[in-house]
Amino acid sequence: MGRCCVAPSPTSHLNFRRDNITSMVKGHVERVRSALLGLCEPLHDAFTWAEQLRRERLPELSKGPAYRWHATHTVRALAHYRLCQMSGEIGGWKLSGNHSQNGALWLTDGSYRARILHTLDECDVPPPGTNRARRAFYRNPLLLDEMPLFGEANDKLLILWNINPMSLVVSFRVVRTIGNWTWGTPAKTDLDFPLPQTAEELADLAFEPSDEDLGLELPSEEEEGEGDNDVGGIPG
Amino acid sequence: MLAASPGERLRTLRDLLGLTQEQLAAASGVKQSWISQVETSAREATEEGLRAIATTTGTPLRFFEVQSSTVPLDSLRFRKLSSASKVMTRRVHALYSESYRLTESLLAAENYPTPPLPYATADTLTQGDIEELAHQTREALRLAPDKPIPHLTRVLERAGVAIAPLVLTDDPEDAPAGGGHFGVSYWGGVATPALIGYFSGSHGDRERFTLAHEVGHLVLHTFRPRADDPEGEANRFAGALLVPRVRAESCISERKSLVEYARMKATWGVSIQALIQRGAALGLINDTRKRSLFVQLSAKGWRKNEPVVVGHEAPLLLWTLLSRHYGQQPYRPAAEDLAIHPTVLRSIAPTPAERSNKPTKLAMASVHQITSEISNQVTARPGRPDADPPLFPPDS
Repeated sequence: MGRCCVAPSPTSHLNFRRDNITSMVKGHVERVRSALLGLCEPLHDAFTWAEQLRRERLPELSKGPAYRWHATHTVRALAHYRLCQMSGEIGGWKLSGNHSQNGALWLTDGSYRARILHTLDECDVPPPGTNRARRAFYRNPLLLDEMPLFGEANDKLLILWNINPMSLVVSFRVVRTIGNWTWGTPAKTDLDFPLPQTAEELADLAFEPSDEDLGLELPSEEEEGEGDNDVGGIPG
Repeated sequence: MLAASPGERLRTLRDLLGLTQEQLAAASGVKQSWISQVETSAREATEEGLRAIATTTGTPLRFFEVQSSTVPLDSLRFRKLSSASKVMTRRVHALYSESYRLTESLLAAENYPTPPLPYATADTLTQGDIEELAHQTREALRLAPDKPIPHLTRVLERAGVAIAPLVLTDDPEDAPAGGGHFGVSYWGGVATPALIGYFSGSHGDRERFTLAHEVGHLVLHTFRPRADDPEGEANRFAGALLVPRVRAESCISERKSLVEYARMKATWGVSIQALIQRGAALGLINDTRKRSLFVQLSAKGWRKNEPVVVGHEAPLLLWTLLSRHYGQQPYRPAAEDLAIHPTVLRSIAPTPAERSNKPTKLAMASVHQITSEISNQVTARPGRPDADPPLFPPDS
């Protein structure tokens, strides 16, 4: 399948039609989506916090494209720090890889593996380049219309992050690569969808005021007999 | 007591109904110049002129004879948008002052207790002072020191603070209720009644916060009218009253995500945004964390439309007092006795049936009818000398 250019809306949730995913792979999308649900809130939270902190501590890096690379590295490092702090609270996922080696920010839940990469253009998927290990990571087997019969699913995924410079909103996009390509040629992916901001269903939560046991206590109420319907008046 | 000024009362009536001098003149057959001169005390009002206006608008003639409320207008406290216009603020003044006059009468007739609220007198207040006053207020309201408030409206009413939904006659459906005003309050101090008026909106959590904010004004500013930052203090008080410090410290931290704030909202009946502000006020989250949470709120579209519904609280006290004296259809007879336009009564003491749905919308429908009918007359019968019959719709 060819590259699927999706413009993820920060508030959007999965939309199979828009994501141009055929019915054949819907089951796989659901499988991957379910596996990633626990990451929705922590990833958005960590990167939004990191961007705010970077802007507070290093506002100079926002002045022009020359420093953008530094800002990106700083945000990634701070996000890694934040996710380390959240250890055990990132939806069953944990950090993996060696962050000291070029800022690697990888996650795994024991079965799936995900590399979190930055993209300047939210439609791009960075190609693997020449690194052999990375090229191997990009090489997922083609999706079949049947679920794996044996063993756990072990997709290797990319989670692509991007920050809107105006709203400072962080968005994430999940892609599953199926091979290698070079800059300027279509990315080889077979799954591509935005990561929702919030996975948790909040529709059932509510606060309903209750005045049970809070009846009004009118001073003259006891003085009046039951069924007293005297309708008097009040001088204005 | 000074005699009422018919000119001042006439101006108040126009503010209540949202009518210009021209509109009122065209509808009543009284000359606009007459209205203007009476309002500015350039000439004496005549009973004939006032009667024509009273009949046209469905207002008791005695409205022009009663003394305005004892509320000093410069001591009213508002919670409002910065975009609220001066004209609208003047109209809110008029509506609130009339509501206060009615409330005083209704409470006094029933010998209803006055609120036992604490009050601040110090020149400046620290966050700790505000926390302590909020704690004392909970005690005065007979609330547990560390539990969510199940129904703030009823708790206040039980303690003697009357609550009144306010409806301006020409409030458009799609504009902020009350022309950008949220709440208004006044308390004369110990042994005097207190009234909180609020403009009903679509979110119950906003109404609860508005009430708590207005209680803050009653407690913090009744005896400190020149406080430097009364709105900021009242906001911090509202947070402290709704979510006591001891519980906030156990619930809010740098690590809490928005979903966890949403769960807290369902527990406390306080908006996510107010909870974030509460955490910031207590130093439980720093500015960076606060900003990152607000960015995420925006990204999710939660700044204007938060998840977790907070139900509306319906006031009961004024309706109860009114219906005890005037029966289940109290507006017309009470309007005569209390010398007020019936729409004001319908606004501040909506019937239980109206409360169970959107109280203000029903009341607004009736007052829309009045103003639109008067507008129709303006175009249909300009300069008609005779007064029209009352335009007020049948009592509910």
